[in-house]
Amino acid sequence: MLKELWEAGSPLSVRQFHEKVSHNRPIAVTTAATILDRLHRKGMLSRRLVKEGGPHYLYSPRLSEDEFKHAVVNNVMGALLRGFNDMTVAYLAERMADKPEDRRIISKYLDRLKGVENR
Amino acid sequence: MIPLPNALMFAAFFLIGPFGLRNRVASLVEFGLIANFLIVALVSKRSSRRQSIALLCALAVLSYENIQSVAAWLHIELSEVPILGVREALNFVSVLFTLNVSLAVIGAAAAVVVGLSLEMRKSRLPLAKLFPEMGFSSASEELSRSVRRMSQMAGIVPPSLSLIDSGSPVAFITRSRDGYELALSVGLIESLSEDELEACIAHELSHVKNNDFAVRSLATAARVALFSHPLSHVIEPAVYRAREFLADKTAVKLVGGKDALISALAKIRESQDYVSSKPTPIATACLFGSPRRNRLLRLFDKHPCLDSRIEALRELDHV
Repeated sequence: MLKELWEAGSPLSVRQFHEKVSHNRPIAVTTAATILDRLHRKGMLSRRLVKEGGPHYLYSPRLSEDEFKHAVVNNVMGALLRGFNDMTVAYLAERMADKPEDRRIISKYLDRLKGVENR
Repeated sequence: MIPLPNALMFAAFFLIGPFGLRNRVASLVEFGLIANFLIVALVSKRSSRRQSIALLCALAVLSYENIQSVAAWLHIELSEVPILGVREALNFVSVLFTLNVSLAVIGAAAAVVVGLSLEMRKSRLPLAKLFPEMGFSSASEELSRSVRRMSQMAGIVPPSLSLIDSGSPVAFITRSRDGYELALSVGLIESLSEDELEACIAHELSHVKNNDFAVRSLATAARVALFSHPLSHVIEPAVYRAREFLADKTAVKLVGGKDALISALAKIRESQDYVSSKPTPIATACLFGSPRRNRLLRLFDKHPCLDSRIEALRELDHV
């Protein structure tokens, strides 16, 4: 849902949002309105009331796509590391050891970590 | 709805009480009356007006009987206390209760007055105080014009119109000191077509046209008078639900067709299905309909579920 709003690049009305979303999954406009309202109440979207041309809201995401992804990773990984520190690190290391690209990423971060330790 | 024998029984029941002639006959008459009204309510599925009046009559009989019984019970209990002194004192009190017939009548009247005034006070608060969790703003002149036009068609004084600052589809009408207030959410206006929105407005205006505020107040007052009678908790919501069905029928007559209202309700139901999490305060206040629940719990809902409303509208054959 958020992807449609990021891709639009400018605030969308419920009808515009519905038009974009209903290509992939057929939903009623009222459902689109309810989804956007919920996302707004959860603090993920900001909205502006426009009274011209019939009252309607213009919705836009509060966070950019990158900021959002960062916040999600931060939330999920933060919780995992707090609860299952060793297991989480071991799992990540095992999963990332398979691909050369992933190995490069992990060694880059390990080097950075060593630098912090040596200081 | 109430054929002559029933009307006579009804009158007899209310006359028997004040003359202190409450006995088995009175109980039988009362049982017969309540059963009769409940049966009338059950079989009048096609006439919501008749259904709600029958339920109100059942409530009236119940509340009258309830107050009589409490007065009689107090009288017996107090006069049988064995402790000397206390008994005399209580007997003095019980003398008052020997006048239980008049007390019962006064009690019933007081309960009705208290119930009504509580209901009126609550419903006459301004919207912002009645629903502090919602934000309200004034509606556009175009929308107000449309409401005025429809009110004229319905033959009622136009309500004032407010916008609810919510993206969810919500609409309701309430009473205020200056008359009726219709509130529509931005989410409703922006997601329904013009015809569908008109049908929803017509439904809300129909509550005024059908005097539903008075009927609801009577049902609530009767429930207050009934104290804790279990039946009252089922009959009062049933009265409310019957008035919702009636408002749908009146709305269909007002807009000249049922398709727009069916389509609007179906859209709103879909959004309720999609967002299935716990209802928010706004969703609770929404007067469109209760989410689908099991049959037993639905007995206590003051709003019929949207499926039943859509079904009832589809069965309407005269439009």
